[in-house]
Amino acid sequence: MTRKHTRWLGAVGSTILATALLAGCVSTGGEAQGPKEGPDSEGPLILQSRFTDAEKGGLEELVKTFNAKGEGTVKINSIPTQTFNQQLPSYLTSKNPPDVYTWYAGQATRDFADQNLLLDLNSVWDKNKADFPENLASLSEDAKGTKVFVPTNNYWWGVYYFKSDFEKLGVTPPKTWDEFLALSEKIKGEGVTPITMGLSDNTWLASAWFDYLDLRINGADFHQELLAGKKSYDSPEVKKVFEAFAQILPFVNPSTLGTTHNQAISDFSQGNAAMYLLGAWAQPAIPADKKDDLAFFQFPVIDPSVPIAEEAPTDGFIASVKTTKPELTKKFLDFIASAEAQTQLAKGQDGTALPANLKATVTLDALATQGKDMIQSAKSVTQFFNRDAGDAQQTPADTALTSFIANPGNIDQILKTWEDASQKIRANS
Amino acid sequence: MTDTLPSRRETLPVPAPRPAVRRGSRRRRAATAGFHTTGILISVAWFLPILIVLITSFRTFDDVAKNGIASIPRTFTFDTYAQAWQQGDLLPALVNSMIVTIPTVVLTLLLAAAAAFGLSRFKIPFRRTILLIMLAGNLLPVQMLLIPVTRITQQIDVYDTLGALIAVQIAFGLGFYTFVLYGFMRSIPHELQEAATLDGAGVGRIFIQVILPLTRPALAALGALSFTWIFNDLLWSITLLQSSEKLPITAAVLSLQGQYVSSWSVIAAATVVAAIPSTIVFLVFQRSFIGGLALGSVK
Repeated sequence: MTRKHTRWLGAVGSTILATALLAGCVSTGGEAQGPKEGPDSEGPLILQSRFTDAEKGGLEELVKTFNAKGEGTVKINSIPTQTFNQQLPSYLTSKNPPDVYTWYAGQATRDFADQNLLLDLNSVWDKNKADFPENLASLSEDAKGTKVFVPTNNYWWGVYYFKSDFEKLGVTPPKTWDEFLALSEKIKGEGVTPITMGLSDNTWLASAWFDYLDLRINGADFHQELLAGKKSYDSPEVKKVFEAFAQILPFVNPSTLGTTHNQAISDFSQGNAAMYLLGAWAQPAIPADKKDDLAFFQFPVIDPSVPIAEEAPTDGFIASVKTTKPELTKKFLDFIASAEAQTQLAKGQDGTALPANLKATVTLDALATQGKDMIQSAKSVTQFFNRDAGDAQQTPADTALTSFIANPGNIDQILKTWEDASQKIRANS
Repeated sequence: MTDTLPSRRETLPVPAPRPAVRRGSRRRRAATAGFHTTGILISVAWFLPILIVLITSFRTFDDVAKNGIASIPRTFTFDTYAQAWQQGDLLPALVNSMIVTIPTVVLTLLLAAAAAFGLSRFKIPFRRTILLIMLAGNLLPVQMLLIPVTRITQQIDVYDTLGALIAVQIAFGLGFYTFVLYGFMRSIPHELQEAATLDGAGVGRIFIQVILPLTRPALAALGALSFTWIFNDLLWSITLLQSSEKLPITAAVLSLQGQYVSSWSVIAAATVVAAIPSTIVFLVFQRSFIGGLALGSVK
């Protein structure tokens, strides 16, 4: 063996040794532990929040009010939303995690509850049960029926348009799928893009179309089973959804895959695109002088025999099971659940959120009233694709929907790939 | 003599290759024009995104939302800067960035210079292997190491501290800087070191008084480079930190992006603010930057 070989062997050997050492360190870390017994530890309660920029205002006011009560101090840690969503698993599994977190209801929360990372909030619910609707109570439970989530508000989804644009085009909001297709045809004839989506930076917006088409064609029960992995994406039912999707593709902005959400919003505000399926969160992005002109209609009915279901994504709070201040955590969440707190919180949200607490008093504008009525009249309520299926399932859905929009002729292959990817993720979690 | 010269020139025949020269100069002129046009086009392509960010930072939210980011600006405002400064908490974030960047740059360069000095000037066994392992660390994708490093920092109780961030940044920069400085120091003549040894200088003195001053161009270049790298880092800081008051400027810019709705003009304003320190450092070190890099490459 030459000298050069010995050197290389040495290099390779030391690299392997170093890797083994690193791996050894990793495998011993990050175990879940039980809730802390006994009195709370010192120091403020850490509230890890994904609300930044203008959105954080309402929460800051709320914390100020709580701190003024003198029961304990809460400190907000505002983390950029995308970072927060990616880092939440590492926050929750870390050695000294923050105590309370802003989060989404549904499977997104249950995924953490299944790993025993969330604090049992039954006592908070026992005190406030009467103030919340029944469906929010069951939404806040984990698989064993323990409450792990405190809801603060939800919002609605609808097909947004501008009243003046519809007047100019001589059309009225459609109720059924056929009316919707005829309306799109007419708008297209006027030289305006009927439907827009900004998918280049917000690919998940395409899931809204998938969710609604599935809810209208196959119903909420099938949809929930599909998202929970009990039905498959390459089934004939899902194929029907994509066939309906194919009907509207000629009306969608042809460059939608390369358009950012901001660009799509500005096309929409300028009247270059007539309709945009959006959640209420998008309303603040509309220029101030066009806000009064904004309106939305309920997603059209496709099969009248399918009971109406609506998306009403619910936001709220979860707490870490490793918190060293369980008493203060529960006191704070108790306050968050109160009508007083939810009234205050809703005020800071620009009228785009409906408080979860039924006793919270807010003055709703026309759009919010319409949204509230729509959700309340729905037979069942879903969250949103990633919240119902679990965040990890969003990526294969995005891949399937974007490749479908790019190449609509390939449905069978796309659905098969989607199903395979989805099963792989379930097997690994 | 003075009279004869002009008359002699007059009598000289007209040089024959003159048209050829003119054609040649025309070609040269065309080449120069082509060179400059291409140069201008490339610099415009390079500068255009920066220009768009600058222009966007002075527009109002409604203007951008209504007319799109690519449209001609119809508004001019400084409010975006005030908004970015307040909402993004840019001042403490800038301070955090400096707390991390300055010690990291100084310590990395010092340690890398010491390592390169030892490896290049002394016959240390396995010096090539050591260098290769250090460099091999840089070849691993950082994303692969995020979780292991986070876990280690949690176990030794330094997670969520600026110190941990500094230590990790130093550890990751060291390999590359040592490699560059190693190449540079090898090119310094051995006679200088021998002369210093004959004059009675110890190893430490040779390092500090002979080698380090000679390495200055490379150190300045690497200093500028590492300053921008570390100052602009986002990945490590958002992975190793969880308290908002410890986050550096890059994370502060990111935090201006709302959950669903974000004002591009405010983000653009914050980006401009965040770019100022590294631009200043780069301009100050610009000359040694280009010279230093070239020097290191030639042995």
